[in-house]
Amino acid sequence: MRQQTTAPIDQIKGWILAKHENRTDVAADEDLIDNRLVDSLSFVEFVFLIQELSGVEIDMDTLDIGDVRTLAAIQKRFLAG
Amino acid sequence: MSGSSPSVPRVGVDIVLISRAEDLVRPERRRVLSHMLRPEEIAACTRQGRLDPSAVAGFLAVKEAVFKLFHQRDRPVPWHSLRVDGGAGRWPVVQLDGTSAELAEAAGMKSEISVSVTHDGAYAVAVAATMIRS
Repeated sequence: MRQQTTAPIDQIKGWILAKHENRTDVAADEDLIDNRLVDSLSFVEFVFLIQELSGVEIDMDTLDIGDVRTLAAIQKRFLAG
Repeated sequence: MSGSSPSVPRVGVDIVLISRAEDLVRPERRRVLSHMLRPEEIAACTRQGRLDPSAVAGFLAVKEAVFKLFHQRDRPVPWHSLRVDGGAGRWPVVQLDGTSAELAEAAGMKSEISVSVTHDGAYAVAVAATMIRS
């Protein structure tokens, strides 16, 4: 029996949507910070989630916000390859 | 952070819903909270052996208000290098080291930081003020 797995980027999108019940989708190029889908209080948990799903250790002191500003940027920087 | 060049005031303000701090003090979220507050800050937010969400919200609001003084858009809040010494009945005092000290220098901060925090109902609000080289 085949098991279906959810792609990491969809898990990240699901995490965002779970925190914003008024939303049904997040566009790949939507700015998560400027649109307050991720704010400073949820940011730490958000980065932990990316870290967990990508297996990439992220130093939050040196992190460039541009690398996590959109789902497309996260996919490119942390989940590609 | 001193000198004779002209300076201008700068303020930062932040508001934190105490219900969000209630979420952060849950045992399963302790890893996240520990990334935001230093052990001594967590100790200062502990009342009778339990983390007080209202105090946690106040500390987080102070840190975010201070971070706004740096005018940084592309950096996350450097939570641990922004140290808050405070607690029930004491005026909060902020000290910067590491990344926060570098950001303060880059922002042209030339004086100490003054902070004030208040709680009412569902919210904690903090204001931070300093002088910036113009």
